[in-house]
Amino acid sequence: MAYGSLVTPPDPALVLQGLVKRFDGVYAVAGLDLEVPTGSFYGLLGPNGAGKTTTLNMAVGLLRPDHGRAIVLGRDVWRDPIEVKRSLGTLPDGVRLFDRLTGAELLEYTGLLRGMDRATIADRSRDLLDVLDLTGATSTLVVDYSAGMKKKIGLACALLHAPRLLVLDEPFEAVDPVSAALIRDILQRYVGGGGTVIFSSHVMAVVERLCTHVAVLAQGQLKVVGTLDEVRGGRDLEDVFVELVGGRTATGSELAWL
Amino acid sequence: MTRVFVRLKLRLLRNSFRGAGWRKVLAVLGILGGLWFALFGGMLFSLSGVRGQGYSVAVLGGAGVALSWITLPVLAFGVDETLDPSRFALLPMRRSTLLKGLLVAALLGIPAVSTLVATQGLVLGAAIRGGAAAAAVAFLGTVLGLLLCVAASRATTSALATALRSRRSRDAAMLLLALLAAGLGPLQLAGISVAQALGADRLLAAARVVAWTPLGAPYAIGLDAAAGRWVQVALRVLLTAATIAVLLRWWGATLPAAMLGTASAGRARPASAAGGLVPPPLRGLPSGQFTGILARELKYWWRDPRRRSGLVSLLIVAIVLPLVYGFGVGGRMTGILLVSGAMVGTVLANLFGFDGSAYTANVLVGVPGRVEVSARVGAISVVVLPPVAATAVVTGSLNGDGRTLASLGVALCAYGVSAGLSVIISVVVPYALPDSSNPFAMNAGTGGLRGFASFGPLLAAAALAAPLVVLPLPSPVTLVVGLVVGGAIVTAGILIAGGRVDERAPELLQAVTARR
Repeated sequence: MAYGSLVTPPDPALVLQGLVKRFDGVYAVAGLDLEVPTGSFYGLLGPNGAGKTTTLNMAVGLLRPDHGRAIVLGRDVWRDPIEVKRSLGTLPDGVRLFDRLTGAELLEYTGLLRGMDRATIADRSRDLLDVLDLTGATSTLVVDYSAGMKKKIGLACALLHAPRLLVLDEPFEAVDPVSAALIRDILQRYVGGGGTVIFSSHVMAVVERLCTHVAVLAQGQLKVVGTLDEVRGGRDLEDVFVELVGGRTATGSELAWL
Repeated sequence: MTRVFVRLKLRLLRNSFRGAGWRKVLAVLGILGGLWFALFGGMLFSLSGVRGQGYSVAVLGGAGVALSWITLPVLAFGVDETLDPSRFALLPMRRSTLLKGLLVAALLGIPAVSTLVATQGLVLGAAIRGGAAAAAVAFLGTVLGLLLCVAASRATTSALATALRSRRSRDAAMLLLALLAAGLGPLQLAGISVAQALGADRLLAAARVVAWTPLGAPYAIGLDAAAGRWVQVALRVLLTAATIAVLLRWWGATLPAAMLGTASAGRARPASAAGGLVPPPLRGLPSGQFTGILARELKYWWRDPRRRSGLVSLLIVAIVLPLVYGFGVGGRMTGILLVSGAMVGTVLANLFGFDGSAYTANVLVGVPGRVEVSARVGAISVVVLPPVAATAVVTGSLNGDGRTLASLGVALCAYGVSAGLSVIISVVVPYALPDSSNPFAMNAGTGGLRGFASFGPLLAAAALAAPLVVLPLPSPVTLVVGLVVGGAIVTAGILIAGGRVDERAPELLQAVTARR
């Protein structure tokens, strides 16, 4: 039995139209339009507090936008949530997992929520735990995992039902280099098989290495959107990013007391 | 240094007025409630100026207030841990400084201030009977009394939190809770005897005894001074001060553990190949969302210290109270079964708050509301119904009037009504629990909400199940009616709450996610 096969549809995998979200009168996201082509590896870049998490949460149905629409594989996230969520795999950031379950239990729980049968859940869990090098921690409570292991088990939960679109919020944060390389490999294979990934990050090296497309977000608005080469324009991505976001550079005269 | 704590606490209190509209409403309701208690309590306590029963009013009323300070945080409201000790773990600060700061901060809150105002009635009473000197002594008594209340409530919750965290001392903590619950019995017996006979002499005798306990002593000294019993005043002040010192020491001793942050729930047993989430007795259920949530909830009621402590303390009270009455008082105890069943139902009043941001997993899948709510109600019912039913049967047969089935009916009806209402409350006014290592900790303002949330279902259960207690229906008929009424309300609660979850799951998630 197959849960969501990786057939490429003609539509873009994700379309965001005029998304707006305010918290206590402050715009976290102020009118955002974005189109993520199917089969792309999309990097959403931005400094802390730019609105990356807010945007992704609105795209996957965790946070209701004040205005605008989010369309996943041709379906409106807020009109047809159940269908949309079936083809979507998500790794949220800054969110607790059901961490008083063991890794294996957490995967089984996720599988049951996704309506998968027990045999499939058991097979895929074993594969995922094995590939993500979590086999040794199968019977440890997730609350006792390290930060990097928590990211990996969260990723396993997002992959379990073989979604067609992966939305990952800071998948490389707190992950050690070995695991990061592993996650990169898995994601690259997934995109190679016809899947689509959009992830947020502020690690330029990872983005330059992986992404086909890049969008830079600052103060709730997109500063630049395009393929990686378009955005870079022959320069270093980090320089482009700092310039776009308007960061300051240290002159050396401050913090003299330090 | 203490001034810093005071300013921090005031700032945090003021910030609790910011944010969503209903939060402000709650904060105002909390203040109004405190005001009402302060005025009404003050009036009652000023009756201590009356000759004759004035002494019993002062001592027994004061002891009641003190006992509420110790028991209510554990059983119902939680403690306002606006200043969580673990936040101070990294600061180079001596324990005594921290203790002093936390104590002063705890004194700055609606409960403490309204208690102090209410007990000023004693000052008035003492002034009427003994003039300025007695009034001054009475005032000293109210201040000491308040200190005792705050220190006692902090020390007990802190110690219990520490004990419930570790597997080794959990049993001891449960025993302590049982004793605490049993302690409620005698007090209520005293209340019953008042209602029955209004035996003034017996009341006064009880008051004389209680006045020599730390609970009643600080409230007795005003009237003692008015009567010129200065030796007794001195002894009681000493007794109170010594108790406060002991309590503060005890609290201080538990602080390092409280500052260490969340301890793990211990190692899980090795999981079986299939993941091991669904326990063998449930393997027969069809695989799917209902089974998954049911199994996860069952594990969580045991593994999550916060859920476990809430559940265990409620269950112990629900079991101990009826039995204490059954053995101690005799007579028809069906009414107390109603209370115990209804109280257990209120564990459902913040169903999603326990999950916090982990509820994200279910929102991401889009679990249908009815499945979500019914699985959660099912899990808690599997845990609590056997002890509740057993208590009802035992207490019912202790009555010796052959109405065991009726007792069961009353308890189950009360549980059903209270559970049905509680799940609706849990989706209409969900609230976040703080990320604290103390399972009794509450955010400022939400303690009041938790109180309101458990009070409504209790009242409703009393209203709907009381006819079963009073009406002389045949025993099996009472059981059937109780099951039908309780079952109907639970079903209605699941349908209403489920519909609400379908509409507003993202907002529910926002509400239960702890702000950082």
